[in-house]
Amino acid sequence: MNKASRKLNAILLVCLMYMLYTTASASIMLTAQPDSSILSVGGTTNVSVQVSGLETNVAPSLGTFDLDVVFDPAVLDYVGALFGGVTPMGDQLDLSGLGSLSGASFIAPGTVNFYEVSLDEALTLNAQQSDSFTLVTLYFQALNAGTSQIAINVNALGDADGAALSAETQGTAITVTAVPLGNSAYLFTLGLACLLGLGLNRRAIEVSNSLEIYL
Amino acid sequence: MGYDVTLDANGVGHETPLYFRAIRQPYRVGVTHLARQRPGMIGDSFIVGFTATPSGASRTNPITGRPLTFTANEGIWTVRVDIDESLKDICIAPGADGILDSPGPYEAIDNLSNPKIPMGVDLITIVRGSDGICPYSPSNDDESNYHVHSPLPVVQIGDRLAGAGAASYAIDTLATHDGLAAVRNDDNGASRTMRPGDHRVAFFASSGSKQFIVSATHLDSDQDGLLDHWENEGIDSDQDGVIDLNLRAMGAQPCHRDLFIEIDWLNDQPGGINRPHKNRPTPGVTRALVDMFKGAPAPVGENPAPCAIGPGIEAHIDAGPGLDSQGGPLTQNIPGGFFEGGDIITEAIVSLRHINLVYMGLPNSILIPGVVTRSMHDVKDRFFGTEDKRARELAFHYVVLADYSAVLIDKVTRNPQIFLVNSSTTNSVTSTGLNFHPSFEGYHLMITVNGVGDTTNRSGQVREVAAVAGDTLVIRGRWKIPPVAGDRFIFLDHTTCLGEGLYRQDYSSAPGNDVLISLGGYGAVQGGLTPASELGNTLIQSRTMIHELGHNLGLRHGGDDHETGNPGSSGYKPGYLSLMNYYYTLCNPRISNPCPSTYSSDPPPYSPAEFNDWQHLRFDFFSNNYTFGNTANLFRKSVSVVDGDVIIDNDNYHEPTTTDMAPLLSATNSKISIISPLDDATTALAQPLKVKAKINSISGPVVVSIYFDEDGDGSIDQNTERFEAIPTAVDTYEVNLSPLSGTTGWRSLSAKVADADGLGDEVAQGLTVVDADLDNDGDIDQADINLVLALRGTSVADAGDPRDVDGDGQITALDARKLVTLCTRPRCATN
Repeated sequence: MNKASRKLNAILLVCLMYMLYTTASASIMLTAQPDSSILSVGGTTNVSVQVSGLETNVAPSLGTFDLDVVFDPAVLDYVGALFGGVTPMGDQLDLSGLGSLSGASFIAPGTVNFYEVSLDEALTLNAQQSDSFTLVTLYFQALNAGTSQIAINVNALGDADGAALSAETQGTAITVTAVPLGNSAYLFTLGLACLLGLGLNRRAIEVSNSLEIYL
Repeated sequence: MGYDVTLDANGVGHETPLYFRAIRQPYRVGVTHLARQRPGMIGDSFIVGFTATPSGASRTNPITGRPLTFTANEGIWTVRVDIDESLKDICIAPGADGILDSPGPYEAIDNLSNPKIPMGVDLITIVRGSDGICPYSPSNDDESNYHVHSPLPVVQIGDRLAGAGAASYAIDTLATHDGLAAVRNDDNGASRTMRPGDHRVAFFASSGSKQFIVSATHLDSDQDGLLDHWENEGIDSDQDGVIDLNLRAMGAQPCHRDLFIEIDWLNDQPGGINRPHKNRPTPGVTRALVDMFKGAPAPVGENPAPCAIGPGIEAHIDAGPGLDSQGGPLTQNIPGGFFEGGDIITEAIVSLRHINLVYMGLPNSILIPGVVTRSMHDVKDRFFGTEDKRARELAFHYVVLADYSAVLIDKVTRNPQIFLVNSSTTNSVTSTGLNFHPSFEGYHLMITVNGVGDTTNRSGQVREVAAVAGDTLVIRGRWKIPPVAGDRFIFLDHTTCLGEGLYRQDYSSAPGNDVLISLGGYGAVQGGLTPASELGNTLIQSRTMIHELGHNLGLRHGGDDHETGNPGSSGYKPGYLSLMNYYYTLCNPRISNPCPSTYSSDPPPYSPAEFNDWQHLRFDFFSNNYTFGNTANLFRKSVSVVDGDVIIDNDNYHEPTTTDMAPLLSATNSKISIISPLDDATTALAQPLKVKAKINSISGPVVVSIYFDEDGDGSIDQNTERFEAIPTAVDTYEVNLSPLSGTTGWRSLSAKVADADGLGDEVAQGLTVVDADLDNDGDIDQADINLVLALRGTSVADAGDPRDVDGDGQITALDARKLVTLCTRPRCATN
């Protein structure tokens, strides 16, 4: 067995173990995933809120969510959001691409509310939705030095029929160091551009990773 | 004289055995002897009389506040001793102490000199045969079983003589001298047939300067457990000279067997987290009981004149003045003015909460946070015999219809097994690290959130376990609100019902008078409700009641033993044609053959496969002080226990499993299921409803009918709301209903298939109807959804707020998504 084969077997074994684990636990998880957890003052980062633990192409699928994301407003400034994130999957609650009912708003300092209601048919969601995907990607700018916890509070999480789902949540933390940068208006524009660009870059990285796995 | 009031087994606290602390030796002990049936002593019956003082008074009468059946004073007592033959061979060797021990509430002892004979126990004494090996054997006449009934008080110091008020006299002195006699002549001197247990007691009594010679009789001419003077004059429960229970006016006859039954039930299970259901008797159930007992054959050897006991037992069923869901009377053979049954049982007097678990056990012994429990004992005290000073305790069987009667408990601690929720999905729950035994499949689990009265609405959800996968239990259907990590759950025995009865080592039995019918499991499975949302159906309810009443009357599962089961099991007895046989308990006589609908009547000689139930009925439940005046199981906490990985049954009670219902559930007639809408789905007012059903027909052409309360008036009109479905594909039938009208809320949707030969199947499920056209513009679209989203995160002021589509009291994104599923156009377009 050559080195490449041993590496492939090891990766497949890890993947198999992971599948067994996730099948046994079968719990839905909401995770806040930052692109970068350490920023300089004035720097920006994207935090993706991801769901995992659903079933692929069968019920339960996700038909709606209503979440609060809580952060330290003295450390971070919320700039904007993109439902469905920037992954190739797109918005998994809008599989037909014809729109959904969604919104984002401040409800208190340091608390932003996001909700989305799919208009897709239940059969469509159950048959086509992935088991894990990005619900929303948030864009933050660093205001002051310090550490901000990013927490997810679930107001509602429902399946394709509107029945409640339960989920565990896992937040994250972002540390800001004291290095001054430029003004925020400029960075906001740049940030959106980065989001789009990052999506393209991320696809390239994934392809690269896939190639590495099968070598 | 009416001093034959029987006694109670358990004292204050319900679990303290009472015994005779003193027996007056100077007075002679009277004995009567009735020789019957066979030469020798087998079949004979004795009455022993004595003067003694109990160790305490019986438990308090919950209605009068005085001792229910006897005081702690000295009195004259009688004990009946029957010498019976064994029904089958059994060998039990005594231990080193020479005493035969047995599990359960009773214990075999070898003499009557034990100073602490528990009064609540039906004792067995054993005469060892010449071979010294098998004392219980029907083939050995010299080896017989002495069955000592519970002692009965005749009269006690402090009792009152000669009627009520000023004319009565409180007894302060008692004496008797050989005062026990057989009763072969009635009070007028006419010849009568003496029955087992009959006797007359003469005694001296004084009250101050007054002195009396009293003759008291204890006669049961028709052997139905109702003494002659009860059936002729009624029962004066507290000796105040006023008849409290007029059995004669209720139809009792002293020369014809009567059986009195009171039925109460829980209040309706509301909708919301569980499928709503009703616990009341289904149409025809009480009539079925009456008809079954009316067909009883005459007892063999009990028909000499002048009071021959003929065929038939007249059942008198008091289920209150109400009507069943089809307008028929619930009460049978009891005239108006005597109704006490039909009480609606709730958590407590001041609460309307639906009880999740009614258990046979000590009150307050099963307390599970988040679960509403109440003991049968407490229920009985509150609802039984309240209008007659509890005189019904002497004459009536008490039947309660509830949801569940057994919770899984730990075998060692006997506390309920409570499991932790680590995670869940829409249709499962996981308790990490555990490995559930496959036998949990079919059990029902209930989510509990610590703290009674929690408002999460997660607590109280009951679902059936459809599959077991290690530490994960997959439920049938879905959660209304999925449990979250940190919640708890318990297991409820899904089809357990309980009937009081005691079974001795030698397979003889002692009767009881309480029945707990707990068919709540049918509320958690598709097709488990009638179209009127009652649990089970008439067949299931009536056959289960007859089975449990059979235990009350001393019958076991296996005829001459307690073994029962399906093909392949050791207890399989296809020749024992009785409703008491699990294999036949829930069979359907329209489908299965054989399928007995009554107790067995095979003539003797007996064998393991044939047993004559009717000839072994015991009606005298007052002679079983273990349960008389109480309910069973007061010394224990519940009935289902876990033994390692395997669930085992309690020894004395009827606990059928799903396999026990095989004759009914796997019947070979056509089957039907509703495939659309899904069970517990939501639909909208003013919208048409398409119903799709799938059948599996084995008998050629069929008729498929859908029943639904289309106009929402609360009932299903059998003429206008029965819809015949048409075939649209192989074995698939559909019907389109008109736009729904009426009120919002839960409605029953049922489907029925009828074969060409008249057989068929029927299922029912729930459907929640909501008012989804919030802006009243004639459609359901994004405009309606936006009205919900605008109030997202708020609580509703009114329970019927249409914006709270799922009825959980909150307006959330879930309500919006439910509206999406009801939209009248694709993607909820506005035009």
